[in-house]
Amino acid sequence: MPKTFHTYIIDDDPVFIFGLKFLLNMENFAQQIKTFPNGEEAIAELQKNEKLPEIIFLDLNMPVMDGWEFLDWFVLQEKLAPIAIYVTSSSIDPRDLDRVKKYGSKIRGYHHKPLRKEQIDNIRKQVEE
Amino acid sequence: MRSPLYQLIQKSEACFDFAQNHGYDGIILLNSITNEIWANARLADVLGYKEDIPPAILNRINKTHLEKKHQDIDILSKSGKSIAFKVSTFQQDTFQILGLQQKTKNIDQIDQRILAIRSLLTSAKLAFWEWNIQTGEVYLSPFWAQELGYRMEELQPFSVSTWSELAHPDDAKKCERLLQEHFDGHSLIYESEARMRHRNGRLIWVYDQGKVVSWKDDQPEWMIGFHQQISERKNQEEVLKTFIRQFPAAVAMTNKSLDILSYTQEWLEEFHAGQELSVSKIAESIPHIPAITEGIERIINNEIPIFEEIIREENSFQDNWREWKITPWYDQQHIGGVIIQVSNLNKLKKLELEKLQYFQYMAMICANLPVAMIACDTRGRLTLYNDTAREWFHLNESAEIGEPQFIDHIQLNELSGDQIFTDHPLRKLLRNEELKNRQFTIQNDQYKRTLKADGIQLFNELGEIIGVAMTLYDMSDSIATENQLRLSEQTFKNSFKKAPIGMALVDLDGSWMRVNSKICKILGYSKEELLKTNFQQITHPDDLDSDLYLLNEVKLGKRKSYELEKRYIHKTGKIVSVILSVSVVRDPQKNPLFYISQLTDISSLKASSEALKNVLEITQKQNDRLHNFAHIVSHNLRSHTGNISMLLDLLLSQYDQLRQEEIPQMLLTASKQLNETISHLNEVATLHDTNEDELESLGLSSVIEKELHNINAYIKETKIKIENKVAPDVKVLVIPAYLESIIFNFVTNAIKYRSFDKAPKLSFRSKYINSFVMLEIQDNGLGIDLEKHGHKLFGMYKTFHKHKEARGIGLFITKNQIEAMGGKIEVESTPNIGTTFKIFLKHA
Repeated sequence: MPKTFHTYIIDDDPVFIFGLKFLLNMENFAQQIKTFPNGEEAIAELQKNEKLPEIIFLDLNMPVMDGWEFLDWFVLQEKLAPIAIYVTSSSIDPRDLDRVKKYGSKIRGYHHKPLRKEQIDNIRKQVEE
Repeated sequence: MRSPLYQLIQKSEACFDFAQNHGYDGIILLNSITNEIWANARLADVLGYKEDIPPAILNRINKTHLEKKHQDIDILSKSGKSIAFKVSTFQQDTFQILGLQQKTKNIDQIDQRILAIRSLLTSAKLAFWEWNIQTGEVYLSPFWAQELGYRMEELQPFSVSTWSELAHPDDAKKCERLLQEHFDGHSLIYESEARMRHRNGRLIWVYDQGKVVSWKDDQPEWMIGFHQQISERKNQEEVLKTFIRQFPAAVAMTNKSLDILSYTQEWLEEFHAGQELSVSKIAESIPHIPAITEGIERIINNEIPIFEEIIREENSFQDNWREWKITPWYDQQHIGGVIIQVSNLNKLKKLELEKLQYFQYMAMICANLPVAMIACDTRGRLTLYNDTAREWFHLNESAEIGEPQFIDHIQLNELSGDQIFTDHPLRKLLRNEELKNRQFTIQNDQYKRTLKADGIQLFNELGEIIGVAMTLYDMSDSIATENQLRLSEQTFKNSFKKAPIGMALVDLDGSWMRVNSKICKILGYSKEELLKTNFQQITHPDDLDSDLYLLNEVKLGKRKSYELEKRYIHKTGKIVSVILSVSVVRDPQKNPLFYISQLTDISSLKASSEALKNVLEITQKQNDRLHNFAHIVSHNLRSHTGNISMLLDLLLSQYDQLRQEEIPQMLLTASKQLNETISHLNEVATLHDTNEDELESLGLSSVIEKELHNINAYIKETKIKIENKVAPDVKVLVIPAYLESIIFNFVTNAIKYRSFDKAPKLSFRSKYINSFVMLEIQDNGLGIDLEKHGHKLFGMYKTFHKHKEARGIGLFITKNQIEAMGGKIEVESTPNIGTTFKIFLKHA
């Protein structure tokens, strides 16, 4: 029985959330999935100091607080360091990729939408290591 | 009243002699009984009277003062100066005859003096002659003629041939030789004995003696001598003694033993305070001066021909300056003794020293003035000039040095350029014509000067003209300035009138002083209307303050001028935009006088620039919209297509049997193609021109290696042989992602369009060309028919191969990426041979 992960999805696109959830469940990836429509709500949840997620799928373009702002806050939180963040964006602008790289190892991966089964398998392998 | 002098002279030879010898500056006759007094015309002349001397002047001569034998008197000349005379007196019957000799002489009286000496020599019954060797002018005294039995008139006119015709031909030749020896300096005195034909037909032996007394141009000029029948030579010494006695200078004559034989009255006065001579030896008569003693001795010993020196005797209370001239005299052919002539130079020396100081002072002042000063004497010889004159006219270092220079050295031209000769201002001055404020020019290789000349006559203390002086003031500079001013005024007037821009002179209060027609046109007012207003009234209210502020700065001298874009109100009420330039004109005291304003109408310019601005804005907006559109397409649309393809995947994984259906299949293909199209659109939309500082320096070779590594599997599969010959140290300025994409594109293109007839090859080479690195990418693939497809090679969605993978987007993107980094791309291709791309990238 493979390990399942406590997972957050921060994204404003309900279709993508539906699809990703469907995929994760299909692959039996997640133990629990929480979704947030923007960075601000995710931060509010993370600050509640309850059970922290092991993996966050983070979109970049969102209303209220976008993925960049969330990342700026996140990298400063020492106790959140164990969380593996995967940026999922429909942007294929190389400048976005460069910008993500600047956050270094705190971001485990950058995936263009849509995510596919193979990518989910890769993520699972990475996190298990 | 007729002078009785003539009768007296007729009656007494002694009286005649006296008049001859002592009266060469005038004779006064006094009747000691009647106290009647007469003066001769010569005296009147000397005193400067054209008519008789006024009786009042003559009556001042007190006869009681005249009883002494020698006496000085002063007589007032017409010009009011006192002239000193030495008086000699002679008593004849009841008449006292006064012979007057002027005490001070000057250069200009030399001629008179020559005449006087000539008459003196004549009266000494010397048979003397004067000969100007250069001009041939000859004067023979009456006694010269008499020696040969002639009367003077019989021999006139005198010439050299007067002598040569009378001389024996054999002796004449000998005499000519002796003369030449004398001229050549071989003999101190010309001496000859020659036979001459007496009027009575007999040949007589005549002793001739003469000496060159003046030289001109290194050639002998005047020669003076006398002759006598040799039989009468013994008389000569007596004659000479008489001559010496009467010589009007301090002269003494000695024999070889240095006993004084004869002396003049002046000698007594010079050395014996006018007292009778109480000593017999010359050495006792004169002060003890070793140089003189030695000089006399050497002359006696015939060691030197003449002793001539100016000697200063230092004295407890006054230095004595005397000029000594010692010559031998000859008895037969032998030295008979010496003649000593002394001139007292004390006064002269004192004067000279004073003059010298004054002169030096003046010379210092004159030397550096840009004014030429030139003086000449009455004969036209330049006597004085300053450095400026010397430089302008190329004169000698000084007037005293070198060849004499005359008026003609001062070459002046009329303003017309004609050279001046007889009308030379110096000559005119000498002719008593005025010289005031006349203009001349001088011209040489380097410059032309315009000179202003003023002149004066120079007089001696007697009021006689001794020369003239002229100053020349260089006006060239001031004339040039004047011309320039005139020119610039003219230019200004012309440019003002015809200027294609509005010009105006504006008073300090802002009112228009002068306006040209263009400014009237710009503002819509007539000249007359405009002159009644000021600029404040017709300036747009919003622009007035800035204009007034700048104007004030110019007025205060804080800035020289200003330029301002401002608006005026046209007469019709419309707004006129102009560029206004304002500068200020000041008087020499730097006070502002008025402003010069220049107006350039930019209303039409303004309108077209507005239109341009609008176009630009519209374009900008459209461009922005386009950008937004691209962004929406590439980003927002992509998230939707992403979702579609994801949902399709999920749907198909849930309902596996749908995969066999045709519609889901087509839907899948459409979704995939939509994704791809959007991906390309995104690449195009994100292309943008980059700034220099966005570029990074990368090693070209390592980027190539990295890309090759990324598609290593693909390369192996297609067996394409790839050579990277780019040197490791070649660095280029690029956006890394662009360069990676470019390399990737070319490698995949080369693989896609490889030829299947031959082993595929691809090579990378680099080369520096100016500020670029040229990357050459060469393959041996299918090639492209550039004649057919060249123009659309880099177009969007163009494909040139009927190839399943051709998408037609790669080269478009590549070209745009290269250009975005400031580079360019060139292509060479031949179908079935291969293609070479040359990519120019900025090198680091």
